Amino acid sequence: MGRLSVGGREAVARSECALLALLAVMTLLATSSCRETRELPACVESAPPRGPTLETLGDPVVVGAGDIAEPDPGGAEATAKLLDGIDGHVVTFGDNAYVNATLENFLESYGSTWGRHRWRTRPAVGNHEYHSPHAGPYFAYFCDAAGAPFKGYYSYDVGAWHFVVLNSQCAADDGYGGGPACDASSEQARWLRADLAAHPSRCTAAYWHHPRFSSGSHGDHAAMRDLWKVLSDANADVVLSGHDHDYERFAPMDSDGVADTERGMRQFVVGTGGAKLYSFNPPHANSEVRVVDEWGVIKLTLHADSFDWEFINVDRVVRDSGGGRCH
Amino acid sequence: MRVALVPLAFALASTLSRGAAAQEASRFQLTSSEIGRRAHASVALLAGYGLPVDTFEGDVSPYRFGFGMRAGATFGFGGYVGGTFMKHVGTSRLGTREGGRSQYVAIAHDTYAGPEIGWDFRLSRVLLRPFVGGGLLLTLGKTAVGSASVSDDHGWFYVAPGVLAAFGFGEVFAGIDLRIPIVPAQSAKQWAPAGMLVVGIDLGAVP
Repeated sequence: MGRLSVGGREAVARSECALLALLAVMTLLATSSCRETRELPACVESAPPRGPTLETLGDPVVVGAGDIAEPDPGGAEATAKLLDGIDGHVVTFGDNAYVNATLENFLESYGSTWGRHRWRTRPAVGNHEYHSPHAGPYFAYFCDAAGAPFKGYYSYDVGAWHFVVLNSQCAADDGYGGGPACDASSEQARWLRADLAAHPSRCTAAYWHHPRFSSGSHGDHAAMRDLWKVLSDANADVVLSGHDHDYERFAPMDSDGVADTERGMRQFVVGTGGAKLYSFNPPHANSEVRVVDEWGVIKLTLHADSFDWEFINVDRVVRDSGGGRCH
Repeated sequence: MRVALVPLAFALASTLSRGAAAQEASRFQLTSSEIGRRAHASVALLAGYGLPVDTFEGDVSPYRFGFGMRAGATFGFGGYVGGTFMKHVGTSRLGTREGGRSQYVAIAHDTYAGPEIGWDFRLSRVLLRPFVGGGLLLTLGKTAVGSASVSDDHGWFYVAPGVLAAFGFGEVFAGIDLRIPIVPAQSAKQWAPAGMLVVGIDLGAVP
């Protein structure tokens, strides 16, 4: 550097100041624009003074769907209005907020629709939740109602029924970190066996996002085979899922998907919560009813040893109904 | 605020050019014969923005704004050998509840460093340097909900082809560095075209 002329030294001094200024400005810009903060709603909410209640006059009710709130949440608002008129517990079958299940998606798209029922909602996590790291916004938004953070599986009771919520993301990394494994030796499977053993209810229902069997465009989700078998071996009665944006009802099936009216589990696909609707592929074996191109919710009325179901579209028309006994 | 970077760069270049105009013998205007005799060292600061080519909106990009430095030497025959250190500040997403209590945190940022080689093409005060760098890239990430957290710390080898276009003002040069850090072991989520403002100093001939 000793070779520099006086003019060169001045230029270097000026440039050093300019470099420091540039660095300071860039650091300021970086720290101010790369930090995004949102305010979350309180974890504990009470029922609003007007509107549906958790308790029902008769037997308990659970109502819900999957694949719910897109950025333009017209469909989600239509199904949320259905919920406005139905007492009981609200359940979701994953893909609660689109497209990437960010905090903004939950606070705005979901929050402005199904969010008014968050106080009575027990959700399941879907693949779109994993478009955000480890589905973090999902767990932060739903708090303890979604179970322990990052697991996505938990259980609870409604009346005489035991409900199990599973995470069907099955170690698939859709974005930044995947869900827990679903194979027979996985932590989730061990938890499920222990939970079912600890809750020997007469009636058991389970729900998660990816359907084990489906005639919809996504088809079967083989990764849930082992967990389906665990439920089947424990004589579970009902399985609810989403992912395919349609409604489909299956006959009771055993652990291999073979029709079994004595001990089989009846599966419903209810991906009709408000997201863009899909069409069907040719019907899957044991598929009994398919409703295409209609948003709606499923309503289960839980009796002591049986249940009734209704699929209600946004025009409040019951498009499918029936009943079954627990085993 | 990001738009403010462009006039900032021009203002900086203007300031530098005024000081440089007074110099008679710009090292940046070396003749072919001088280049043939000397190897020149240089250092530079880089500041800019990297954007992953394949990402979900919900992703916490480990790139975005970044700054770093480069040092190296150009040999008489035009070849360049040096090294780069870059730190991208990445993203912080926060969710607070009930008076600012942090309930959701997702952060990620990348740091990479390694050698690079290139070739200097000079035309008067203009320098054009295609180069390729490589080395170790570290991604530090964390997601927390309440008191539970998950770490996403990873280390990978990267390669970064790019090109530097700079204009000389005496011993000082300023320009733009365009590069694509690529992590061969990863998906395109870790491929992030990045544009950098570059301001540097030619330190003169290497003894």
